[in-house]
Amino acid sequence: MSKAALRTLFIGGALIFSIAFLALTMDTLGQVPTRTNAQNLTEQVVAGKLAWQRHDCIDCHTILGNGAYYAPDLTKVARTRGTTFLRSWLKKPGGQMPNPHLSDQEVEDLVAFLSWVAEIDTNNWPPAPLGATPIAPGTPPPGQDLAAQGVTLFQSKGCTACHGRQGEGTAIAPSLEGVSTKYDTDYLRRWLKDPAAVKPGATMPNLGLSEAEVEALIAHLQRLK
Amino acid sequence: MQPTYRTQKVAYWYFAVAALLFLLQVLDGLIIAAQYVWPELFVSFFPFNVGRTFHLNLLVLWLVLGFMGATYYVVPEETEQELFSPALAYVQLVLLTLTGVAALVGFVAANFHPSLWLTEGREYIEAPRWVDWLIVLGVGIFAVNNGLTILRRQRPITATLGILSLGLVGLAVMYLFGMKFLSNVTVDQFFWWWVIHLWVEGTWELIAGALMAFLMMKLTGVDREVVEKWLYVEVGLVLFTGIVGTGHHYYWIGTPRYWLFIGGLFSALEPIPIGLMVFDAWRMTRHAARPHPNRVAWTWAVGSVITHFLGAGVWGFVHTLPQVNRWTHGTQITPAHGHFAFYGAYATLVIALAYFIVPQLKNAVAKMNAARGIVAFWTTTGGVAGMVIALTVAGIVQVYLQRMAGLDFMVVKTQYLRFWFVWRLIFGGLAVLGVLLYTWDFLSFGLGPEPRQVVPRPAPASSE
Repeated sequence: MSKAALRTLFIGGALIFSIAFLALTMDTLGQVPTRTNAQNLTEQVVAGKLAWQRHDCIDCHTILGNGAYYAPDLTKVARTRGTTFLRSWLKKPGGQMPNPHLSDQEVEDLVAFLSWVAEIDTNNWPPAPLGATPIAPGTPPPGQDLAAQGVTLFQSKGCTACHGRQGEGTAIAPSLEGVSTKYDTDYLRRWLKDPAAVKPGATMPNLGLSEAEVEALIAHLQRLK
Repeated sequence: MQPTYRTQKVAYWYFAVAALLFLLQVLDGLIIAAQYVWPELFVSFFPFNVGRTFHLNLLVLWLVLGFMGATYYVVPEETEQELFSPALAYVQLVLLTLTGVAALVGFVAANFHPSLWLTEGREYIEAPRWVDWLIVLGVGIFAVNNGLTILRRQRPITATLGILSLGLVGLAVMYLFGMKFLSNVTVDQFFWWWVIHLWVEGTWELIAGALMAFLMMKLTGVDREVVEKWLYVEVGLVLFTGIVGTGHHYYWIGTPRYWLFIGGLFSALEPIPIGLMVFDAWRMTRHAARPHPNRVAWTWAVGSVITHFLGAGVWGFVHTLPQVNRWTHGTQITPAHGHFAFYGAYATLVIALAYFIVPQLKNAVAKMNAARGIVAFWTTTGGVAGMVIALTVAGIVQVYLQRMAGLDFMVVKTQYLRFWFVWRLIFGGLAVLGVLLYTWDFLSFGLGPEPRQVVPRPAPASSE
């Protein structure tokens, strides 16, 4: 082919694919309000997004899987951890996260933002781990044995994030082996409900556990000798 | 041989600033790689998010300055006349460099006083709005200066220059899509990819393709007619696959399900033009009219073609299909690909251009220490390849343990990936050594007084 013909092909092809992409863009923008529940995108959610940007959260975390890979993805965090946990964590983060010194208003705005993001239809991303059964927030998983329910809660409530997969402890939180002999059940109950109420300034966040969840977790902890 | 056009000399300072910023970028990279291993490091005054913002913004700035420097060298040559205004080119360089420094200072300050005036908190385009406008001004000066030069030409525009110009205009236009605040995070990320993806897998590929074609013509003496035909085919296929291929970023961000099919199909074809470029370079090597004395530029150019294919083509393809990406999205697989692709497609190309253009301007081709430049290539490339392999293994471990087995992110990061992050840090150190060697080499043939007129002579055989 001559150079002129190739140039025509280049320009023509680029135009055709650009037009196709623009058409797809128009269709996508038409569908996004439904898929993201735009009717729930309140002023507080927008304020939360501004706080998210102001504190440059995305250069450690990912959201919708995009951002930095240094800290956990926060797309569904409001669902998996719950808003009580988020509130308490944002006021005083633990683990490796530096304290961003958020105002109470910023905390509420960020919780609203993350709660809205968690409801976006992401084509089922992130995928559920293989073999996992989804659990509705607030209710202990079904099962006869209280301690078995506790094991599942131990995974799903994010305890493993700091205490390790088996509760063996990590660099950022102590081992839980023998914790039920070290402390009595009443102490554990009060601690799990609100760590900061037992020990002001505690690193562990309030997980927002229900009574039933606390009992199941204690049953699990009592088996960690 | 002195440069044919006096005003081409402005290119030198662009490459000098670019080399310095590249060194800063990798030194900063060393800090954030170390923070992966020791999270407490500098956390109070230079936490990870600030270091990463530095890393990304320095990357974009030095690469774009490198493209601009190369353009100031290429435009006079391709239009056979002097630049419209070399003074304006220096004003533009000072403006963009100072703007970049101001933005970096702002990112550090934002850590102590969070404000949207200091950071916009959007990956790659963290620069706040007032910085955006200064960048637009700098790029505007660049466009006017080159545009007026091109308009004054006496001969028809060459394909190389035409594609280079189209790429540069595209680069500037796509940046504008990142300048509006969008309240819906899905819409925000949708158009954010118009900046990021349509830069690196669209407009920047046009710039890189044209500059590589220019470099290859100079280094091999292969006929322009043939080179430019290939160029049309390559950049054509880049756009045919890459524009709609943006869809591989629209799988999981709240956009419709059809993107899984469309994005998967088109992005899976994206390696084809990159593979063609490898074949093209191989073909040109075989038909080289004469061996060029500048072995260093040649090494970096061929290295660029190959690492471009590996980093962007192979490492991109392995996680582009939605069936795979569903598990790998947002894991260490992405930075493994990102590092390799940016290095192969753009970093090595800008360095190859610096190695060709600066000795040409300084009349120093014969004086070059070829061994040093080639050792710099292998050290940097070895370091980057080691980092990429460490990150790839970390990514695979992360996919299995976190995504498939359901372990928590922090458990995987602190207990299973740390080993690989240590290796990434070690190989990152090797890459920094390579960049230091490059910077030293650049200074040794770039700085110093203008050489007196010397008789050109072939490179001594010992420098091979």
